[in-house]
Amino acid sequence: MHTDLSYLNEIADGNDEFIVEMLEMFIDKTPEYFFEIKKSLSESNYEQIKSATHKVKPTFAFMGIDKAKPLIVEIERNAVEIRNPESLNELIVELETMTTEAINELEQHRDKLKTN
Amino acid sequence: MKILVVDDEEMMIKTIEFHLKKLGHEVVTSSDGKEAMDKIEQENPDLIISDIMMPFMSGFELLSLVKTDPNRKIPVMLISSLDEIQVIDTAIEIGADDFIIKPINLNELTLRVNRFSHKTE
Repeated sequence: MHTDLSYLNEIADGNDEFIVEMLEMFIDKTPEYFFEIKKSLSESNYEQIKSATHKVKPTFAFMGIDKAKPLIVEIERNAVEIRNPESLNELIVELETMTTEAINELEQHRDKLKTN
Repeated sequence: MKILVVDDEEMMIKTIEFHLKKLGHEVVTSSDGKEAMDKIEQENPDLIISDIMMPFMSGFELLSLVKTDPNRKIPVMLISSLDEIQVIDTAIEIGADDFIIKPINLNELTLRVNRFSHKTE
């Protein structure tokens, strides 16, 4: 399991509609983040990588994707201090792979909630 | 209370809005500081809850504009990440009334908002 929705469930307090809305936001918006940071990396725009990653960080917390946290921290640190395109690319690919698997889980959960 | 929530992250806005409405507050939202200034004019909120890092105008700039407006005394609570914690001193200097750290603990948010709620009663 890549995701843990206990924080989201606590916020929702039994409101499935809210959970579905939040899941759909993450499912729809997160690929845009990867598109943006990969584009920024190709342009060596490290400031943009840092700010986009900083912005997306809490959304991973909402979905309980705890394993993403150290990767996100490392991407931010690399974009500010090291600025190494090869290692940044590796980190981004690793995070994206993990996120794709997490999104698969979230889609299943959303579909289950929608059929209830 | 009427509360203006300012954040450029949609899920964060949605969460805070959902929770505050559950507590019975009226919520107005904005996704950046510039738009927030317009909302302040139009809505005259009792409390502003704002993120720090945002496009066009940071939470600090927004805070500074609100605190230097002689016609309004609106309390401002800033939302900060743990890695921004060192900026709290700066925010207090500018006049921030309170802070909350991301990921937001909802009980803490309730307690902090209630403090302002009692002041406006």
